[in-house]
Parts: sequence; structure tokens; C-alpha cells
Amino acid sequence: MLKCLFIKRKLYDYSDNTLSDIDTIKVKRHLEICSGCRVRLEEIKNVINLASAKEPPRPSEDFWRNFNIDLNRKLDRRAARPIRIELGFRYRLRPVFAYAMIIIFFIGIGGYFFKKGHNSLGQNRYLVEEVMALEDIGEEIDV
Amino acid sequence: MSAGRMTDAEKTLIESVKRGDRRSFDTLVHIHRQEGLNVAYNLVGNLEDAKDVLQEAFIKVYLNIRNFHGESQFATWFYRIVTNSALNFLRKRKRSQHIFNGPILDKEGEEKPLEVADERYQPRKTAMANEVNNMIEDSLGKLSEKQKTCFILKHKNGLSIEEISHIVKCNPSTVKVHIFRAVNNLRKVLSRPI
Repeated sequence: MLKCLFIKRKLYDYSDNTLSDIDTIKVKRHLEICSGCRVRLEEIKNVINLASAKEPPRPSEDFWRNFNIDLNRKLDRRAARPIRIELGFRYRLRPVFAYAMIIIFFIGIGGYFFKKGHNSLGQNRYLVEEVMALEDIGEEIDV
Repeated sequence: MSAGRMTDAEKTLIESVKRGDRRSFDTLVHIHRQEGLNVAYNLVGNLEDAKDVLQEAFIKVYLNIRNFHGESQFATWFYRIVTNSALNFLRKRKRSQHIFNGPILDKEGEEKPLEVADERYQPRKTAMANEVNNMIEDSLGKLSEKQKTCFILKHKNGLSIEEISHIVKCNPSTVKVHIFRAVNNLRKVLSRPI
């Protein structure tokens, strides 16, 4: 049971060939004796195969010709727009924009630190494994 | 679809675009258009919208190329712009779907279903392949934005974890967790008996 929990969180990396040599051997050995993990591996491979099976379109040269014409037209329109002058003009006339920007700035800073606090997995791979293990345990309990 | 190292020719091209040379920009578009379309198409799900997203991304590239200092590959920077444009587009589409979500009433005041063309209807494909494709698209649509983006960039566009981490601006471990969770969620949906 515990062995399966350990193996299950390695199965994605195993199917992606990004596991270390030692872990690959461990997973291989376990798969030989555990049908549940073999089924799980098949499911993972199935998901990846199905998702990557749909080929993106390869449009014709006509499509790209129209694409370029359209793009250049849009670009001319956008490049001709005096963005900086317009912003400066508004900024001088409406000081409320300046206050709004200051408030947004502080909210942004606050949000950044809040997010950083909640997203501090960092490079710690042990913590990543903990997350995966906890999710697996949760899944086992659900079952 | 690995970006690889930036060649001298590409560096020269980018410098020309920075000076405002539209011909060099056209060449840059020509080089990156198909890969960009693949990313946009996989994220938004249809060619027409993908085209708009890609055009928007190229406009942003042209207008902001002075901010590209070559610290990363140009392709990675470009994919980040395409990805962000696609995600913005999806957010807008989601908002407009919410707006028009209200019930439609007929003359007697009875609620009637909205009549829209089914975009998934593709007569050339077999019914089974269609069903599987729709199931995948539906399941992908139910994933969180980060999970969906990381999964698509990895398994539909073939980018490496390192490249994805630059595109979505989080570290590689977090990208791995997002993909792990995405695969797990998709597996649960797709393994259910039909």
C-alpha cells in the first residue's frame, strides 16, 4: 500500500522518461508485481496519447497571405495610435488616475507578497513530492 | 518544438525589427508563425480565434520588441506573448459567455434553448473519434488555467519544463506539480466508463 503510494507519484515521470536511474529501476520492479500500478501507468499514457493525438492545422499559403495582409493592416492602425501622448494628456488633466495608479500599485505589491507566501514551493523537490504524496493519500481515502 | 539557441541571423533580424524594419518583421513572422499558431490553436481550440490571437501576439511583439534584451530565447519570449494573448482571449470569451447566459424567452414567455451552431460538428470524422476528442477538450476546459496551460504546452506543443517555466513565469517544480495534477484530473475523467 505505502509502496504503491510512493510508486504512483513517480509514474508520470516514469512515463515521461525523466526519472533518475535508481527510481526507474524501483518503478520497473514494482510494476512487475503490481497490477494496480500497471493499470494506473496505462491510464496516464492513455491520457497523454489522446491529448497529443490531435494535430494542429497546417493552413495553406492563401491563409498565410491573408493573415499577413490583415496583420499589416492592424499593425498600421495600432502603430499610428499616439499611445504615450494620450496617456500623458489624461494624466495631466485627471489627477484621479494618478491616485488610482498608486492604489493599484500598492494592491499589486500586497498581492505579490500574498501570492509569494502561498506559492513558496520554490526549487524544493522534496516539498513537491510531499504535495504529490498528500494528493495521492487523499485520493486513496476517497476510494 | 524546442527553441534551441538563438542564431546570429536571428539576432540580426531582431535588431533590424527594433530599428523599425517591417521587412525583417515579416521574415520574423514567417519563421515563427506556424509554431505560434500551434500554441494559440491548442489553447483556444479553433483556427479562426487562433488566427486573431496570433495576430494580436505579433502586434505586441512588434510594439514591444525593444523590451526584448536577449536574456532568453526569442521563441520563448514569443510563446509567452502568444500564451498570454490566448489566455486573455479565453478570459474575455468566458466573460461574454456569462453575459449571454441568461434564459431566452419565446413569445409566450416560456424559456427556450439557445439555438447556436455546434462547432464540434465535423462530418468527416467518425463519431467515436469525435466523442473522444470532445471529451478531451471538455476535460481540458475544466482544468485550472495554469494546469491547462502547462499541460498543453508540454504535451501538445512539446515544450520542455524549463521553457514552460519561463513562459508561465513560475519555477520548474511548480510547473511539474501543475502537469502532475492536470494528468491526474484528466485521468480520472477519461478513465470513467462511458
